[in-house]
Amino acid sequence: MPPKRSNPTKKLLFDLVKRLTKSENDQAVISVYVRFAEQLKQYSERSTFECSETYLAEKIKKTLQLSESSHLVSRFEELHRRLQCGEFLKKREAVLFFLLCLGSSQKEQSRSSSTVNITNLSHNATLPQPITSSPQTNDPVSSTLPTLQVTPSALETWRPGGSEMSVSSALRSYVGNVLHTSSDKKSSKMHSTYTSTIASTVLPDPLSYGCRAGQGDSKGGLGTSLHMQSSEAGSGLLMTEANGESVPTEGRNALFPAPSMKSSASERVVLQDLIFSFQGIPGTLLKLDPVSLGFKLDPRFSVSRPIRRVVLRLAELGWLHNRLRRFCEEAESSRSLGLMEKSLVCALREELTEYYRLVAVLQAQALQQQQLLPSADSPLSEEPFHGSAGSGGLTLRSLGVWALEPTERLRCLVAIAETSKNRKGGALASAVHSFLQSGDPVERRTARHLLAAVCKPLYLMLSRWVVDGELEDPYGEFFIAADPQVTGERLWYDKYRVQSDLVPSFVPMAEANKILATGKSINFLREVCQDQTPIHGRDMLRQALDAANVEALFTSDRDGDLGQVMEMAYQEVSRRVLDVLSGPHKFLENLHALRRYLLLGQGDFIRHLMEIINPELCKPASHLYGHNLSGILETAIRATNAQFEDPEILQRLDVRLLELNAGDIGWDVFTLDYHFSGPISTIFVPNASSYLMLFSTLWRAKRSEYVLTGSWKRQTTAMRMLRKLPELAPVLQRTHLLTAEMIHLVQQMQYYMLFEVLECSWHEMLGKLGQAESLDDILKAHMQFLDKTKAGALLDNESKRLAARLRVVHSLVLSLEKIETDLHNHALQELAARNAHENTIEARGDAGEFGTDTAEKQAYEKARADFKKKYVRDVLTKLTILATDYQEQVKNFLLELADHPNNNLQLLSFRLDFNDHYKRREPRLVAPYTYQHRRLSEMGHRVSLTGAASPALNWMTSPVSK
Amino acid sequence: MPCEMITLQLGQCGNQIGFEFWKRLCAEHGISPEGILEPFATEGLDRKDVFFYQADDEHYIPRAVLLDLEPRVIHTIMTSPYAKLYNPENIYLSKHGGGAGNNWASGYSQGDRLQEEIFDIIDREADGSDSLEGFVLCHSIAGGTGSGMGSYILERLTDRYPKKLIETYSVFPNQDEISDVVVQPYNSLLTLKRLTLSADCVVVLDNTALNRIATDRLHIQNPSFTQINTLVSTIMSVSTTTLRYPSYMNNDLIGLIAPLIPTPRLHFLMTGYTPLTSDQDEVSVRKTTVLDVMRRLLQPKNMMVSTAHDRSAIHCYISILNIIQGEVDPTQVHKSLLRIRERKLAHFIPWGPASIQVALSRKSPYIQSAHRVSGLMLANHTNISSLFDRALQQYDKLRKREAFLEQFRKEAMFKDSLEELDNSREVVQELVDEYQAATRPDYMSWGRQQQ
Ligand SMILES: Nc1nc2c(ncn2[C@@H]2O[C@H](COP(=O)(O)OP(=O)(O)O)[C@@H](O)[C@H]2O)c(=O)[nH]1
Repeated sequence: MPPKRSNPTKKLLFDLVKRLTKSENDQAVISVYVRFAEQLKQYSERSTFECSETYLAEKIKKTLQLSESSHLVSRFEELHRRLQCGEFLKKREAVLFFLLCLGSSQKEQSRSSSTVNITNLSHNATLPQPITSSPQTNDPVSSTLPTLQVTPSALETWRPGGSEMSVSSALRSYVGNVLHTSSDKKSSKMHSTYTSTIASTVLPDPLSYGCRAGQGDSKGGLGTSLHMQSSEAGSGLLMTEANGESVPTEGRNALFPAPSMKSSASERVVLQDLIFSFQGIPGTLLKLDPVSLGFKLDPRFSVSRPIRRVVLRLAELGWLHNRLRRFCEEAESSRSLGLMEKSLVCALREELTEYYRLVAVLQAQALQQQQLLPSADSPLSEEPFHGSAGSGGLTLRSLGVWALEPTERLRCLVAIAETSKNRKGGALASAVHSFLQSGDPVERRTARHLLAAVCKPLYLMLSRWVVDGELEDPYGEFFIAADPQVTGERLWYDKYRVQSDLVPSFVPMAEANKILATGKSINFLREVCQDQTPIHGRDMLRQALDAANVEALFTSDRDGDLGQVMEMAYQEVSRRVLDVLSGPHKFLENLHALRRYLLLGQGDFIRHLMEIINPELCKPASHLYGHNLSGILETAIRATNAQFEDPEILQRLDVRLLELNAGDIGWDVFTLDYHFSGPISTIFVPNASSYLMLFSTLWRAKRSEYVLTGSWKRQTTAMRMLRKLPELAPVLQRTHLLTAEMIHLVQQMQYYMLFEVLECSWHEMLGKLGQAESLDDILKAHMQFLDKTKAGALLDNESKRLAARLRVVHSLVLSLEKIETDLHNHALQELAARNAHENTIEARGDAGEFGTDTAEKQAYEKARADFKKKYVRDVLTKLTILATDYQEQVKNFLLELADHPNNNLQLLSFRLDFNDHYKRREPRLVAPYTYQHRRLSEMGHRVSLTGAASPALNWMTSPVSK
Repeated sequence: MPCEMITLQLGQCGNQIGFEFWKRLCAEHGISPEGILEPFATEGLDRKDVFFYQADDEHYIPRAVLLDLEPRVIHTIMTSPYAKLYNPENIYLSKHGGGAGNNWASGYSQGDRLQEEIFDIIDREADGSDSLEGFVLCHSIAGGTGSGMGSYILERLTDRYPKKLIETYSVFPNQDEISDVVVQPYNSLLTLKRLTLSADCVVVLDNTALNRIATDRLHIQNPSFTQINTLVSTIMSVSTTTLRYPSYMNNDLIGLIAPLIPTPRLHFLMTGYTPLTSDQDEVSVRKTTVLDVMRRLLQPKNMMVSTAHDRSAIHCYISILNIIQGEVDPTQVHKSLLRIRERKLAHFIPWGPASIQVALSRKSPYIQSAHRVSGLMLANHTNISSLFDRALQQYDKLRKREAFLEQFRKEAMFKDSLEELDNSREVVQELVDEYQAATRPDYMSWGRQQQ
C-alpha cells in the first residue's frame, strides 16, 4: 500500500519500513508496520513534557514506595541509571512518563508492571518465548484477554474526552469490576505466562520479565486478572521465561529512562494487527497459535500491560473468528455432513461474510485514516488508549467499541457452533434452539436466525412426509425413520418410528407422534390399502406448508397456523384411513363377523356346528381331515342364518386344527379360524391369537353346555319310559340334580363371559370406535376390548389357576356325561330285557304253556337283582363321588374367585352362588375368609402391628437410657 | 335349518291363542297375512325358519297344524285375512264336526280314532323339517278337544318322537267365573296327568290371572278372549324370542328350558310380563329401567298364574329366566341382580344352586313399542303346585259326589272302570308332593323316599 506522494513523512516511513523489514513485496505487512511507526511518531510529536526526567523518576520512585513496592525503588534507580548511560533512548522523559502512567494505572492491578517499549520494528534479537494470549483451555470464551467491553461500569467511566478520567482510573474501575464480578469464579491451576519484556534494544542483555498469572477458568474470562494479581503476581514473583528457565528477578517495575521516546507508531501497528487478526491473519505483533487458534503477542515486542490487555482482549475476536472458520471448514470437509448441518455451516458462512464486510469497512477506515493523518503525531497522552480518538480517527479504544458487537455475535456463533458439534438432525436443532432461551437478545436473535436455517431442511423433510408420506432423509436427520424391510400388516406398527433422540426439543413428543401418524397413514393408504385416490385437502396443505414460515416450527405458539395445518393434515389423513378401512375394506363388518363367529355371537350357527361336528371331534385328532371339517362348516353355514352373511366374510371363515399332542381328540385341536387379508390385517392379525384363545374358551364352555343339555334331554325324554324301572329313581334323581347343578354353573359362566364381559366391553368399544379419529384410536379400543374380554374369560395371567380349575370342572362335565349315557344305555337294555321277558311269558301263556321255567326264572331274577343291587348301586357310588368332587372344585373355584384381585370376577362368584348354596356348605366362603374381608382386616392388622412395634423399637434403640 | 318347532293347536282355545301367536310372529318377522315377506324385512337377521318354512322365495308358511273337532274357530280363521297364511293341508277339521262336547274322554277317544289322519299331517310336517327340535302344543286343559285330544296326541308324540321335546302352552280355566263346563275338574285332572308324564315343559297360562290382569291392570271390563289372547301371544312370542333372534345363548328350546327344569317332572313354568301397557301409565312405562323390570317381574301381581297365597312361606323359586328386551345396558343387569339379592326379593331352593338367569334378547325391528325395556319371566316356582292342588280339590269334590261321570262312562276308556281318573289323581298328587319336596333341603333323596 504505497503512500501518497503528498505525504512525505509517510513516504519516508514507508521506505524505512520497507528497508527494515526487508519485506518489500508484502504490502500488508508493510502497511501494518507503517501504521505502527506512524503511531509511534504521533506519540513523539505529542510529547510536550514540561516535567524533567528527574521529576518523573522521582515520581515513579515515590509511587513505588507508596505502593509498598519500596524494595523496587533501588531496582528502578539502577535501571534508570543504566538507561541514562546508554545512548539508545533519547526521549527518556516520554518513556518515564509512559511508565509512570502505566505504573500508577496498574498499581492495584499488578505490582509487576511491565515496560512497554516498542521501538525498533526490525529488531531481530532472539527474544524469549512469545507472549501468548491465547487461552490454554478449550473454553470458548475463557482467555486471558480481559473483556473490558462487557463491563458496563468500565465503559461508563471510560468516557472519551473526559479529561479528569485517566486510563488508570478506568483500569481501576475495571479491576474493581473484575474483582466484583469474578469473586466467585474459581481459578484453575492452569497457568499461562503473562510475560512482559523490556525491549532488548534498550538493554544490552535483554531481560524479559514475566509474571505467571493464575488464569481464571471462568467463562467470562473476567477472573483472569484477579487471580494473577491476588496470588502470585501479588507476591511479586517475576520470571523471565527465556530458554524455558524461570529466573526470579528482583525488579518488578522496570523503568527505563527514555526521555524522548517516540511511540506514536505503535498504536497504528497494533490496530492494523488487530484488524488482521479479526480476519484470522497473523500480524507483526499478533501471532497465531495454530492449536488454540488464538492470537498471542510476539514476545519480541514489548507491550505495556494495559495495552496488552486491550490488545489481547480485542484479539479474542480473531480467535472467535478462527474457531468459527475452522468449525465451518471442518464441517465442510466432513463427508457425512447432513443437510441440517450443511445449512448451519452455510448460515455461519453467511454470518462470516457479513462479518468480513464489517471488517473490510473497518479496514478501509483504517487506511483512510492513515492517508488522512499520515503525520498525525499526537503525543502520548495520559490516556494511552485514547489515541487520536479526539480527532475521530481509529484508535484502540474506538476499535474496542467497534469490536463489541461483532465479538458478542461471533462469541454467540461460536458457542452455537461448538454446541452443535457432532450433533445432527433434531438434536442439532435442539442444540441451536437452546440458545433461544438465552436472556441476551443478541444471542436470541442470532440463534433464531441460525435455527431457521437449520430447520429449513427439516421443514422440507417434514413437509414431504406430511404431504406425501415420503422420507427424503439421506443423512438420517429426520426424527422419523423407516425400516424398509417391513411391509404389509406390520407396516403400521413397525415400519416407521419416531427417533426420540432426533426429535427437536421444540416439537413435543405428542406432536411428533401425530406427525409420524400422518405420514404413516399416507403410506398405509398407498402401500397397504392400494388407495390411490387423492386425500382431501392435500393441495391446500401443500400450499399452507409452502406459505408457512420455517420459524413457525419452533415458535412457542403451538396453536399457531402451522400447528393447525399439521393438526388438520393429521386429522384428514386419519379420517381417510378410517374411511378406507371401514368403507371398501369393511373393517366394522369384519369386526362384527369376528364377534358372530369366533366369539359365538351367531348362536344358531354355533349350536348347529357343534351338533354336526361333534361326532367328528370325538374322534382321535389324528383321524381328522381338514376337508371333512370344512365340509361340515359349510353345512352349518348353509343351514343357519350364517348363510345370509356377506360371501366375502364367509370366505374368511375356516376351520383349523391346532398342533396335535399325543392322545388329543378332535375337541382338543379344533378351532374356527378367520383369515385376514388386506388392510384390516393390520388391526386383526396381531390379535389373531387372542381371538383363537377366546374362541377356544367360549367354545369349550359351549361344549359343556351342549353336553349337559344333551344329557338333560336324554334323561327327560327317557323318563317317560324309565318309570317302569322304579328302582332307578334314586340314581336318576342324583343324575338330574348333578346335571342341573352343572348346567347352572355352565350357564352362569357363559352369561358372565358373554354378556357381562364380552358384550359390555363390546359396547364400550363400539362407542370408542364411533369417536375414533385415527387408526391408532381403533387399535387401542380394539386392544382394550380384547384385554378385558380375555380377563373375563380367565385368560389373563392372574387367572391361570382359575382357568385350570375351570378346565377340571369342564372335564367333570364330561365324566358325568359318560356315567349318564352308560346308565341310560343300561336302563334301556334292562327295560328291553324285562319287556322281552314279559312278552315271552305272555306269548307262552297265550300258547297255553308255562310262563317260565325255574332256571329261566332264576336267571331272569338274578339279572334283575344284579341290575338293581350291583349296577344301580355302582352308578350311585360313582355319581356320589363325582358330585363330591365337582362340588369341591366349585367351592375351590369360588374361593379362588373371592381371592382374585380382579374385582370384576367378584361378579362371577356372585352369579355362581346367587342363592348362597355353596356358601352354606363351605364356611371358608363366608365373608371373613374372602379377599375383600381379608384385605380390610389385614389393613387393620398392619396398623396394630406398627403400633405395637414402636415401643419395642424404642426400647431397643435406647438401651442407654435405661 | 336346525331346531324347528312344529306348533299343534287344538280346540277352540288352542286355535284362538295360536291364531294370535301367528299374527304376532308375522308382524315381528315382517310377514304379511298372506305369508309374503314384506320388502322391508329381507335383511334376514332373524330366524324365521324356526316357526315358518319357506314355500318359495318370498312365501312363508307356519309350521302349524290346526286341529279341531268342531268347525267354528277354524272357519273364523279361514275367513280372516290370515286365511292364506296356513298350509291348508295342515288344517284338520273332524268331518264329524260335533266337537268333543267339552268332554276330555270324547276328545281323547276321537283323537284315537283320528290319529292316523292327524299323524299323517304331523309326520309330513316333521319330515319337512331338517332338524326338528320339538313340538309346541297349544290347548286348554278344561275343554274337550284341547284337553282330551291334546292328551292323546301328547302320548302318541312321546311314542313316535321319543327324542323330540314337547312344550305346551296350556290354558288353565278361570276360577273366578262359574264355568258352564261342569266336568272341567275331570278334564283338567286327566290332562294334567299327560302334561306331567308326556310333556317336557308346560307353560301355564292361567285364565284366572290373565283375566285379573286385564281387568285390574289394563282396566278392561269383561275382557274378551281376543284381549286375553293378546297377552298370551305376547308371552308366547317373547318366550320364543331367543330362538328366533339368535345370540350368544338360549338359541334352542333345550337351551332355554334345561336350565329351568332341574328334574323332569318339575316342568311347569309360570310366566310374568312387564310392563303391561294401558293408556294411563304409558308415560311411566317409557322410563322403565332394567331394575324396574326385573323387580316387577318378581311381584305376584305381574304373574300370569293365580297361585294361592303361600301361607307357610316355604315355596321358592327353583329357577328363573328373565328375557329382557329393549335398550338394555348389560351392566345394568348385574346391578339389578345385586339389588334383588340384597333385598332378598326372590327366595330360592335350599338344595342346589339357583339364580336369576338373564337373556338379553333382540326385538323385532318392525314393531314399535312404547316400552324402552320390557321383560318376560319364565319361572319354575314350587307354588305352581297350588294350582294343581286346587285342581285336585275340585276334582275330589266332584268325584266324591260321583257327579257327571256318565259322560265319561260313555267312552270306552271309562266304561269298565274309573281307574284312569284315580291314576291321574295319583300322578297329579305325586306332582304336588314333589313340588312340596322341592321346597325342602332333602329333595335330593326324593326318589328314594318314593320307593
Ligand atoms: N285364554 C283363552 N282361553 C280360552 C279361549 N277359548 C277358550 N278358552 C278356555 O278354554 C276352556 C274351554 O276350552 P275350549 O278350548 O273352548 O274347548 P275345546 O275347543 O274343546 O278344546 C275354558 O276354560 C276357556 O276359558 C281363548 O281364546 N283364550
